[in-house]
Amino acid sequence: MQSEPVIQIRNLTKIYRDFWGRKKVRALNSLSLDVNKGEVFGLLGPNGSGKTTTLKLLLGLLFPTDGTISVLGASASDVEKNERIGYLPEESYLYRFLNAEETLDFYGRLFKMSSADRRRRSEELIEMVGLKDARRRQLKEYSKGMTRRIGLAQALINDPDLILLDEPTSGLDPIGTREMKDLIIRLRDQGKTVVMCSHQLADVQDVSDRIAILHAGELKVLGDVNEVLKEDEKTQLLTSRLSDEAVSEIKDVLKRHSASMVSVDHPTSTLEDLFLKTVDESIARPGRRFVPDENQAGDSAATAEKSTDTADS
Amino acid sequence: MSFELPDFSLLRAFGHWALIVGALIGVAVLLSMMTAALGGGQLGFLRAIGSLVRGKRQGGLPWGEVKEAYAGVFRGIRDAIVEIVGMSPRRVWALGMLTFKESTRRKALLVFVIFALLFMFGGWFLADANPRADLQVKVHVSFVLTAISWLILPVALLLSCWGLPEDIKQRTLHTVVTKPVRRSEVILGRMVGYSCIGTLVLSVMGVVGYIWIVRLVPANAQSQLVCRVPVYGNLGFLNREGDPGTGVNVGDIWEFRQYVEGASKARAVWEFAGVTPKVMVTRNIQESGETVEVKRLLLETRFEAFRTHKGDIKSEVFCELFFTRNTRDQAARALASCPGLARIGGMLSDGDFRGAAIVLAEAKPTPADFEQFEAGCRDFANITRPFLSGESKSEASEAVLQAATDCANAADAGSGEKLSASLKTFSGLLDTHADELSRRIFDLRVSIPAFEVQEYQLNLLEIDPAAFQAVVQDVKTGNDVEREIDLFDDIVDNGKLRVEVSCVDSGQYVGAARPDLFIRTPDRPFWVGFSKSIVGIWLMMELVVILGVTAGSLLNGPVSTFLVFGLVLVGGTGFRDFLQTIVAGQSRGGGVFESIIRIVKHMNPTTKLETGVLTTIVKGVDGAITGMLWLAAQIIPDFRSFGRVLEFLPNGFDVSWSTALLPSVTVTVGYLIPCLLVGYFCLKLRELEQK
Repeated sequence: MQSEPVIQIRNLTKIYRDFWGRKKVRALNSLSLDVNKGEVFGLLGPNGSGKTTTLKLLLGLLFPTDGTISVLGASASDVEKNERIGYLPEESYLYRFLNAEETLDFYGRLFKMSSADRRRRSEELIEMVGLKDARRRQLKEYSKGMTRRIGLAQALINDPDLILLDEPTSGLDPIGTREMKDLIIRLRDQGKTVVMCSHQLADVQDVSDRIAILHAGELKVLGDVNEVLKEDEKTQLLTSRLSDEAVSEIKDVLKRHSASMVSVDHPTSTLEDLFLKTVDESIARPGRRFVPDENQAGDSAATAEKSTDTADS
Repeated sequence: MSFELPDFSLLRAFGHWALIVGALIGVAVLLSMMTAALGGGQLGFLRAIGSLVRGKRQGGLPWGEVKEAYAGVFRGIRDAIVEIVGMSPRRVWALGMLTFKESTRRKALLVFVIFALLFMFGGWFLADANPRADLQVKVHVSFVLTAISWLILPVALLLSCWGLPEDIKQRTLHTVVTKPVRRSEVILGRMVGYSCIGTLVLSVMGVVGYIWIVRLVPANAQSQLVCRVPVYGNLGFLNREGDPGTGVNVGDIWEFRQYVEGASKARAVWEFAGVTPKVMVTRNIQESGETVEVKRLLLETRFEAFRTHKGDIKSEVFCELFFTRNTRDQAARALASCPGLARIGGMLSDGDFRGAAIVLAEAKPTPADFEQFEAGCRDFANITRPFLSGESKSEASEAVLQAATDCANAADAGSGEKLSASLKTFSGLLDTHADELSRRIFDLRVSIPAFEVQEYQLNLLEIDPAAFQAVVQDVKTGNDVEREIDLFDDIVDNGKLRVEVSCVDSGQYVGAARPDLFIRTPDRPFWVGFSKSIVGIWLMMELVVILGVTAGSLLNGPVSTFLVFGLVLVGGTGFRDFLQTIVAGQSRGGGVFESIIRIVKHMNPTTKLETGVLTTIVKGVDGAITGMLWLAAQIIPDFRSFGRVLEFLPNGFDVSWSTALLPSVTVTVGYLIPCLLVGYFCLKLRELEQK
């Protein structure tokens, strides 16, 4: 992990005021943190904790009440720094009268890219985000997921060094979510720095190297994901299936070492894994479908093992 | 149509512009402080101001904060300069094209439907609207230009006022500004985009409008589809004694015209400048069965008759028109301008050179008079030189010319003795050669046959410049000889042509104003004037776009629309004149509070207020309000100049560059840079994501 800071925030405070300058809400309170080059940094927190405010302060969309911000060695209000930044807002605020190609061409022009570069890059990104078939449709006809995808494409049009993603998986289906997470990891592998803020904790955990948790505008937790989540007081063993006798013997061993067994259970997969596995299988074997019998119709625990391969029958 | 258009001075306009921009820079410095305070995060704006004040009054208490605030101000100014100078044309164009697409996809082009409807059915109500051909043209052209203006302006107003606020409201701008886009580029890009869509709409409307006019103007009026190019002269009057003065007021409240009394020495005198053979038009005439091209000087007149006779109202009133070269009169006036030589004027004008010599001999100039003697004598020499030197010169004429020049040089050198000696020599020569000088220096006057004053109609006089004859005295023999006179060779003096108009009929009067007589130079094609009118509308649209985008950078759509609409209304109507009279202190009844007092006390506007503390306070407050109004009057754009552009073509004139188009160009360009600055600061200071 590189330790060169790409973002430096010191004592950052943001107070929203009303028209008359009266204090309305303190969105951030003396926030200090660094984001290093080449890492995926997750900004977590419940709604209204100051995640999006922090991103907007980094982009100069808001002015800090107090404190300093350095992004890529420049001030947040410096326009030049945006040459190396890509930003995916919480909602994809794009011109809905443009189509995907026009959108990417427009944002490419803002980076003074040549016509050939814009065309090539647009092709790559449209392919990458899976909008090849909808490239000529106006964005107002897009679903939320498609809008997120084109939003991501515009954020990457300039091949940025620093990517700021606000709720990147919001509005995406599980496949889109997985692709987004894969992309984030790929970007990190390319040496880019990614800052994502989300309240999808699992998503952040999957991809982040370091995280910060905000609450009520204050930094509560900051550190490496594995370090932060590690529970030193507990030890976890993962074995192949054990007999009851073996479990009993293990309990005895634990008792001799003054430890107790908290639980013994069979581990479950995540719903995301199950979903992806099901979709993959469906693609591999089209036509195979699950047909529940009358007793199982309302049973949520029905599994694919009882399914019928309609293609075979 | 207003023919008394003010002379437009680009220099004065630039001074006015510099004043406005200077005031705006003052505001910009204040805004820079705000930027610094908000951007730096160390100081609230009020704290920054407060610390500045405390720093001054209490001597360096919070000097660090004061220094930071000052640094912030300079940083803001520097940033503004960098942003404006460093704008990328490619990004501006990209933003402009985005705006263009946005406008077209927001159905802005639907304006063509209204346009088409107007033009499909407008012809029904305009055909043969007036028996006079020129008025038929006027109706059609006015309709087209008015329709285009009234359609394009709302489109420009609504698009420009709503575009940026919607962009901010929809947050689409937020994605744009996270790219390396400067705020100034956003503003200029928007302006470029709306200009492009407006230009497209205007071009299509212009072409359709032109074809519509050409096709719908009745056949008998087609010949009137021209752009007359007038050369106006300066108008002066001679009174009934023939001395410079004013015309007669026949009781009209409108003092536009002054009247010349019939059968007297009263004259209306036009002096034209820049008259060369190029002002003549080419005419084809039949001569010995062949068509020959000839050159003619066209004079167009439109006098008004004022009758004092009872009887037939249709009885004709005749005018006589003279072309004069009043060399003797000018020479006399030149010498008469010298102190102590006033009497010479009348003498020389009457040809009394001997009497003039006596007056000159008695002259005793003091050093204080030298400057006027230098100017007077030099003018005399310059005016008479063409007649005293050249091919027909004689020793005497050259000596007189040299004597006048010596007088001027002596006065210029400040030598009283030399001047007195030169004046004596000059006087002696005038006395000795009085007869010859009288023959050489004379007023030449030729006339055309008397013509009827045709009221409410233009009277076109076609003048053959070589068709004049005059009786003059032979320089050497003194005998009367008849000579052919060429207008340009003999009458026009260094491009100056003097035209005198008199009323022939006793007891009748002829009214004249400056535009009532002009030289009509070769006409320009109708499409030239039409294009210029469209350019005028385009400039007006541009100004609306500039103001709309600037307003939209700070205000929301509805408020921006009202603001810009208000500016157009105030800047383009009589309200502006009213504002000017208030600011200039010409309105009766005083300012706001003084007026209230007068209303309450039922006081006449002309009655003076009682002196006292209250009056002083009221006048002081009114003075402050007037000061603010003065500033507002300077900032509100003058939309009247665009209206003037549209007055020419319907009246059959080519659009004047110097009096109409240039002021319009100046107004539009003049507002571009300050508005760009204001828009930049408004967008820069604005927290786009402010909740």
